[in-house]
Amino acid sequence: MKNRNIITAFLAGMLLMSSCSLDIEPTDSISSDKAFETIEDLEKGLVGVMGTYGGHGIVGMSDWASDDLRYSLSNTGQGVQVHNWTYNASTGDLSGTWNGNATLVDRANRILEVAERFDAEDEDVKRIKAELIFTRAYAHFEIVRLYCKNYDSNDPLGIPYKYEAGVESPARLPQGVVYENILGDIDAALPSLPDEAEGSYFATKAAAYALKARVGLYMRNWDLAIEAADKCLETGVRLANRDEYTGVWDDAVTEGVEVIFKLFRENGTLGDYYTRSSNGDIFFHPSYDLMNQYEEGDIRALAFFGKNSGGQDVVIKHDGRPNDKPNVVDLKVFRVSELVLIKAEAYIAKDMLDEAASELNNLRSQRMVNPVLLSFNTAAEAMEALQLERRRELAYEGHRFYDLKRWNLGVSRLDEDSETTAKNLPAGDYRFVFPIPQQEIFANDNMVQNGGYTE
Amino acid sequence: MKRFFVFMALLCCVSIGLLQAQSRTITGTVTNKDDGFTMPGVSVLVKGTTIGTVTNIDGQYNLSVPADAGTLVFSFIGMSSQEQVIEGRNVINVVLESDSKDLDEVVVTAYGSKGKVGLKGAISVVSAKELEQMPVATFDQMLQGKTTGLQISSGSGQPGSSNTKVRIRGTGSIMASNEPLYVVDGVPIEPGVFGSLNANDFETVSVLKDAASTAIYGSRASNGVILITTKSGAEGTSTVNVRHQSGISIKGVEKFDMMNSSEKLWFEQIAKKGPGWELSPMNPNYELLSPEAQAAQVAELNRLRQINTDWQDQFYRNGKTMSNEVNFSGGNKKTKYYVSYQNYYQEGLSPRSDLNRNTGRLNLDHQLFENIRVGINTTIGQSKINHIESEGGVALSNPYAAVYLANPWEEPYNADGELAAGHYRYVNPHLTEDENNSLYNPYSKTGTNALDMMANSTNKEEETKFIGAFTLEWDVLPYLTAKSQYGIDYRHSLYERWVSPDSFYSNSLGEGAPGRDGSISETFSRRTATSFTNTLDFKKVFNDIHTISAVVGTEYLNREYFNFGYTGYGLDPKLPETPATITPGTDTNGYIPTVSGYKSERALFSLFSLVNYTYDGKYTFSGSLRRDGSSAFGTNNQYAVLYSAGFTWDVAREGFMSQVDWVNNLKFRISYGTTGNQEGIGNFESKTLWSNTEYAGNPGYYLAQAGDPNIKWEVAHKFNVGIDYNLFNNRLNGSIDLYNDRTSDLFIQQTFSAWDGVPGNIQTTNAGEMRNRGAELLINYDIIRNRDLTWTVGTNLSYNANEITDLGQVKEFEQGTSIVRVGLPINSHYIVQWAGVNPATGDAMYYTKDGQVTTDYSADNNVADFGSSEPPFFGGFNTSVSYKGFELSAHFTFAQGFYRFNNQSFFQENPNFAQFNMSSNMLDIWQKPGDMTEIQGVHSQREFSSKDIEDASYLRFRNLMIAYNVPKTVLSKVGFIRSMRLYGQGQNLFTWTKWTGFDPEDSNNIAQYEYPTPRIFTLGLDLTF
Repeated sequence: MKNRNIITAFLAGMLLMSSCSLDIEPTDSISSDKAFETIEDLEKGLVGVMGTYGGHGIVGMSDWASDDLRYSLSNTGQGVQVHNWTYNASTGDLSGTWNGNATLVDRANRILEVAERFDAEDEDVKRIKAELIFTRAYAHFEIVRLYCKNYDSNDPLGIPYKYEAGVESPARLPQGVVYENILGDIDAALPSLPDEAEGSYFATKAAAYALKARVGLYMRNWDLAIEAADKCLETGVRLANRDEYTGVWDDAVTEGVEVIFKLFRENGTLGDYYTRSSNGDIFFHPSYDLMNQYEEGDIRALAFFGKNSGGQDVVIKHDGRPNDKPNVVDLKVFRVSELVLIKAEAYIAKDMLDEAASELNNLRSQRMVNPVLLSFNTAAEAMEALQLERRRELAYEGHRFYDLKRWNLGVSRLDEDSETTAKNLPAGDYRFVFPIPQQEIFANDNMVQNGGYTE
Repeated sequence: MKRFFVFMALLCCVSIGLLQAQSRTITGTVTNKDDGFTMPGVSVLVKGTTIGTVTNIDGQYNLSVPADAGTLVFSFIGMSSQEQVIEGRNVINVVLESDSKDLDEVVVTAYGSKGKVGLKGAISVVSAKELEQMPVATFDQMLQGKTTGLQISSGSGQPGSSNTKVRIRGTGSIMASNEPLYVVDGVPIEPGVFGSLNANDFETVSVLKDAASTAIYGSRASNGVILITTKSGAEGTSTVNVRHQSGISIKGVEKFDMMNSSEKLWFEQIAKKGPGWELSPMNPNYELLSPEAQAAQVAELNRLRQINTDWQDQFYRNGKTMSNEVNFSGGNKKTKYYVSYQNYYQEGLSPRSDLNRNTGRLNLDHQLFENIRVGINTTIGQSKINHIESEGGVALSNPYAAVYLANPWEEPYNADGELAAGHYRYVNPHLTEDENNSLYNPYSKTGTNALDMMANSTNKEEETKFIGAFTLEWDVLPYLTAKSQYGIDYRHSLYERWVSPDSFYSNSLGEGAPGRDGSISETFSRRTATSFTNTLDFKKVFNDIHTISAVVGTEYLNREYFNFGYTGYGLDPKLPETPATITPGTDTNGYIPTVSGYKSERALFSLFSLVNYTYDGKYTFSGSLRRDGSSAFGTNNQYAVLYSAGFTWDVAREGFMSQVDWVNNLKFRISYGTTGNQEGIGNFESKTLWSNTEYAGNPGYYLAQAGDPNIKWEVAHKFNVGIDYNLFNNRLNGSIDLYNDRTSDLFIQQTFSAWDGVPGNIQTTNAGEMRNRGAELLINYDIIRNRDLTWTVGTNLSYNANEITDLGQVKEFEQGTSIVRVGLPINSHYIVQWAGVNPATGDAMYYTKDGQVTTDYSADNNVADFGSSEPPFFGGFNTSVSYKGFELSAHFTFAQGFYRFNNQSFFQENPNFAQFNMSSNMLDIWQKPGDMTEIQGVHSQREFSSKDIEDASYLRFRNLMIAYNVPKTVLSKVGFIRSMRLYGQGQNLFTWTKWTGFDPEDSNNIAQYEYPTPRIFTLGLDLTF
């Protein structure tokens, strides 16, 4: 029947319509399947991950919470909870390192997943994967430093460890497992990491060894720490000398000198933890306690402390490159000085006091004018010298508060450094371990809060 | 006109006929079928002529007809007309039937050919007559208070503004759009953008409210649907309509007063701020001055006291309104047309605010072959809008803020009559420069600077809109029609923002600021929505008792956005608003222009069907099913399947009702179904996306969005029962509806573990639930219905109770000054409760959560005890009287039981802002122990509290119209005019409210110096030829 044919034709036409595509691609962003087609794209993925690195918070929180700063009268509340140890799980300042590094883990894992699509034998692919695996290890360890108790491998409350991107509610693994995983990732990354990176802005073998040495130090695996530090120094990096030292903080030092790995910064204002870049308001002065620790002519005191136009003491370690934006500097992640200090501390722990003294003397000779040559009779004496030198060298670089925790020491501020603020945080206080951010506890049913904080 | 000639010709024929032709007389009686009584007043007419008469008191008639007369037509209001072929009879008796069964329903058709498959359910139809002549530019505002279930509040008095809130049966979504779906002649159009449409072209506006009527629109229909049909030509004589309307807009009266100069200067002393304090003898500095300097200061203070600038004169004006329109319609058996043109010009209450619109329409239907028709319905409109600065913003450049905040002692013009922007600073001639600087501070000239901005900048919008529907219809069989329609809704808008290099604003920008020599920004945006709809519809009666009608179809919708813009600097003061005025940017001049823009697209492909089955004209079962596939849905939820089922019982057709003669129509309806809302999903929200970044000089990709493959539409589960009634010879009619709508899968922000890698740790997910329950009552009653006099009254009342029932992960979250909390209606205010002012200390007091009085203000004491900004009870009533050609009608609208945040009082009643003018309420400020007042002392910080939440319920005299239709007898003497109507009207005549801000009606929960709604008075003339 004719009509039937017509209807059939019409219906067929309507069905044809169903081929109208619902698969519409965005024009202003790139969808996952289109973003990564070549190895160059994969390289871009890695670059994006490098851009995700944070790290300022680790520096800022350590300084605010420790004895290296003095509250300023022009402070309008910046860091006051952290400085007075009145923080809780909702304190916004303390959530940045957790959130930022968990994100960094995710971004590294995402690009690692993408890398699986490429030729596993290709040298670039191998290098990129190695840099991403290094990133994963690094990011996990950053979280360990702030949110884990006393770096004890037997402590059941470590952190989650994620090898794959994906929505799950990860639980905390025992600290020991976390260290194993971190070291496993470092070892997996090492063979394919490059020997050098332009501007030290990307991960290298030296950076991985430096991370390994730091992890060894925290876990109190002294042999591991010494071996890794040596491997790192074997790559050819060396200490900056007195003349070069201020250049380190102006981002004006030659590659291979002092800086092993740093993060490029174009706008981030690290120095704003101490002084507001926009108008020079001081939030925190350097503590008298810290300023008193340096001997006359120590290049470090000159590089770290200054005076503003009103004659007030200011931290100038991160006050910006010369003739550039104030308070914007690269974040130095690993320096040769730290490795020297790691080795010295490990030798002391192994009761190799001469080796320890030699390391410390080496560092002191590059910082001070005619320093007294150290030699130790007891480990306690050596440890005291090590702690002083480590405080002097690594001030305002995100070590002091975590070192005190490691050494099981308290924070005790001088009276003149704590006129309007809290003075003492006893050794072993629960507040040495920062609270897991409230948002994480809320969103993640498997997350357990650190001791002492209300759930 | 043609008809007029025909009429003249006929008159001649008749006269000749009377003289010459054989005529005969027909007699008879007309009775009413329902009651058997004879019917007086029935019109009896020879078909095709004007020869006729009416029946007498006994229902009898007696009519002389020409010998060749063929048919008599009997008609009476409320009854079916009847035709009787004369066939040589001399006595023709007739029984007329009530036409209630014909008034059945206005058939509202969603898809398919007109009239074949009608939508069933809760539908309110507003006819063209009710919208015509209203002196507002956008049709959504015209619908205010017109029918049940539709709550409309305008947020701006700017002519052509799209800031109008339209809600059908309440707010159903927290994060997604709450706008209904608008469909014009089968083409879905952009919601809210109606400034370029001429509502006089509309024939009917149908508001679809329940699932039975909306489910056919699937995942776009959960907020209800507004279907618009435009006018078409009718077979027969060509008709020309000419309409003119003109009038003025004038400002309403605010319910608060601002201080005059002496009051303000007095207050400045109390607040210790401003010249009133600096020049005051109470100021401790006064004692230190020399007698000459003291005298100079006092003289200046006295001078300021005398100034009293009336800022209302500066910022307000009476705006003109003028509308001119012509339309042509007509057609023959094969072709019908409707063509219209309108120019609409309306000035706002502010000197730099108006709308100038030109619209045209062409609707054309043509019968190509006996069973194939083609048609186009198109409109094109362009509107040019001049906007004020910072409309609706808490900004000093907003004239409706500046008008109140400018100090009365400020002088806008210097001695030469030129605008003198900048600041006021007293210079005492008896003091050195340093002394002057230390004693007297500069005070920004709020009013003058706003006037300068108004004069030296522009903010223009130019919108071009095209809506077209191209239709091909083919009657495959008498009972089966195939229809294909291509529709397009196209809009492009050009926004232009220009700041003169000579403006005070430009000059006050710092050295090196790009805008220091003026700036111009142009933004172009284009929205193109196309639809391609194919349907088959079917209607057949089987065995005279089973009626089946059905439509099946497919629809493809595609929507594209494109937007780009630039801002250029360094303008040449001699060139007007053009890109050529820009100075090209260099490294050194700082004039580097900025560019911006984006593109986006989404598509929807759907299959749908609608079936109605009616048994014996009494019982109708209807059902619909639609499957929507959207490019925006997640891959795990690609298709939304939504449905409805309904039942209608036509009680009046039951045998047992045949004796109940006062019931003309009674229908019972019940329906349940689901509809969706997909306007909360970003076009690419389901996709994982990467964007460009840079690290250490290397290009990279960063994760811009973690796609959610599960994201889907919100689902509204709608239940409705209702009754439609026409009683007492159709004099009383209306409807009653009860509904329960539950929206599930509401978009909610879900918080994720930081380890999950969701950017920002927050993502929209389908988790919440909300309920809207309500009742609607529509009543129209003809109190008097005579040939000459009719008086009708009508009301529509709606009640809607909203409650949030689930928020997924959380029980509540704050949203500005509101809280979204399970158990409360949406937009519930959340604020600290005000406890008055302590008379002893002048401190503001608040209640804690536990009901204790405290002077410590803390947001921790916020409570949600102050209602919601969504009105639960709203509606309108109207009455109209017509006597012979005169008509008088009045329309009122109201909204009851809602509360709004009066943010203006935070500025006008706050000594912190004493550099601006203050409300005269501040004259009651606490000054000494024992003062009983609601205004705390200067020392006590002004905070947001329940004091700022006010009952915004209102009753508004929306419209009063007087019209005169010139009688046909008069017109026939003129000749060519078929009808003529003269009218005058007033809009927004009066508002009864407790609200102390400017206007209780607004599109949001907070009053922030919105553009006030004007009163509009117009006179008009409609002519038909």
